[in-house]
Amino acid sequence: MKSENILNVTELLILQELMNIAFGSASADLEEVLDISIDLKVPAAEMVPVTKLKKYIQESMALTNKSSMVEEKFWGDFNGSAILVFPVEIQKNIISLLSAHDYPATDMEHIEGMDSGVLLEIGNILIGACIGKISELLNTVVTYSPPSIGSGSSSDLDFFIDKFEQPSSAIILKMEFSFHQKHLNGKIMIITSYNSINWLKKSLKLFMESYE
Amino acid sequence: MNIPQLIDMIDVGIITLDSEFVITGWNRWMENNGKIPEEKIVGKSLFQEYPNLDNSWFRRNCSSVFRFGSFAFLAQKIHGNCFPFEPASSFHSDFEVMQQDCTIGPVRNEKGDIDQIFIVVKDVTQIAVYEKKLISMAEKDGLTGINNRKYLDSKLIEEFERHRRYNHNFCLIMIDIDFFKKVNDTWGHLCGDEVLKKVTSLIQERIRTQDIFARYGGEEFVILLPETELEDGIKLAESIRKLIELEVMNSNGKTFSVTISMGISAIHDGIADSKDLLDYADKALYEAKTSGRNKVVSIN
Repeated sequence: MKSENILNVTELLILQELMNIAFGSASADLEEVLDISIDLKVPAAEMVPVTKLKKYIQESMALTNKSSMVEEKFWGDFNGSAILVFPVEIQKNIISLLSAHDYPATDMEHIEGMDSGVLLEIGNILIGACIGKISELLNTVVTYSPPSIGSGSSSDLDFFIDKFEQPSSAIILKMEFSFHQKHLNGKIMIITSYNSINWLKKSLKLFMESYE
Repeated sequence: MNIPQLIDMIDVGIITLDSEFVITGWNRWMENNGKIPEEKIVGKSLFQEYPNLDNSWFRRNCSSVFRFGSFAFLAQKIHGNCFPFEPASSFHSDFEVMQQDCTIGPVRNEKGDIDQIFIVVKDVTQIAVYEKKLISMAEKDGLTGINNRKYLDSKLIEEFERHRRYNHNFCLIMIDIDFFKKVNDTWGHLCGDEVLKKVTSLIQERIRTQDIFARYGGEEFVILLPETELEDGIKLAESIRKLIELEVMNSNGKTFSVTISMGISAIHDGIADSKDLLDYADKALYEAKTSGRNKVVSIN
């Protein structure tokens, strides 16, 4: 792999710092949007070969067949996919937390897929907040495809990973979120496309220069 | 062609709103379907015109777009519609209002700040109609119009789970039309079909809306009675038996009557799963058939 096609250790550290700033700002805004206190923490940035992506995601996201995984693609100079995983034991609590006062009771009872809809909506907001804040700091604008929901099964994950070009490497930005006082948490992973790397290298340089 | 022309010609609704939810743009599709001209709605509050949108989920999604520059997707499957317009075609009579998928996104000014948002409204009524028909075809019996066995099986599992979690009682009645083969052989299969339709319609009128009534196969039917004790199930079964017995059937100028046999069982701790309950009711039905027919037998 050519060195210009990978982020070096310093660039990964700058990216991690940028995520720290982005998520600090995102959590304050999310609190206002969702009316729930939220912590975004443990940001980390690393590069993972696409051939090892499946095992990496399964292990670091603690995926099981019963997990719910929301996936959303984003487009622009900064492009790729984000996945958000809700552990199975908290799904019902997240649904009731967000939908209790929002949706008419009759709809909740009669619309099939309502639970998935609530998870998609909260997933879309959390992913949008994280990517939106990172894009803002990198001085670019992204657009999004509608999110989709799947399980943490091996076949659902294969379908997701097949979109990434092999034998390239993916830049992984990962973080954990938790809702204060509700004991609810989950994980978000932003997987940046290989074709974003050159743009990202330049943008990270500009980002650092703005602080010098 | 310039962009404003395109926005008016495109086959989706486009609205723009400022941060106070005041309408700043309203394209021709919105004029045609909302029946409000652009000049009469621009400058007005969205919530004044469409109070149904003044709720936390809509505000939450719009706020996230303003704050993060992200998109929000309001799917028809969850929300039905955002704008209560009449369906665009008379072929969409399954729905009283147009079914819509809506996308909300940011509009940036020259400085790159988000000072407005857009809403794209897509008419998905036709897709929703097809989906509804497909679901119906997968769950309904083609001849009688009542639920099919696949639907019953899924509801039975759900009801069993409810019993396991909350200890809710329920009963199951298995029904068989007596000497149905004789009806077919004597009066023909068309007449047999009429009997099946008549029996189902009589039973359907007698049961509650929350009861699940399904064709189990051939001339066999099942009624699942949620929140019902065995004694109440037996009373209902007996009333249905009498109702069918007294009904005079007419088909092709011929008049005759039929009877039914019923086996009934209620959930209890000794029943391991939903199949067990069906087995109990089936055994009770067998006893009703072998001990003279036109009767209700219960096993618990």
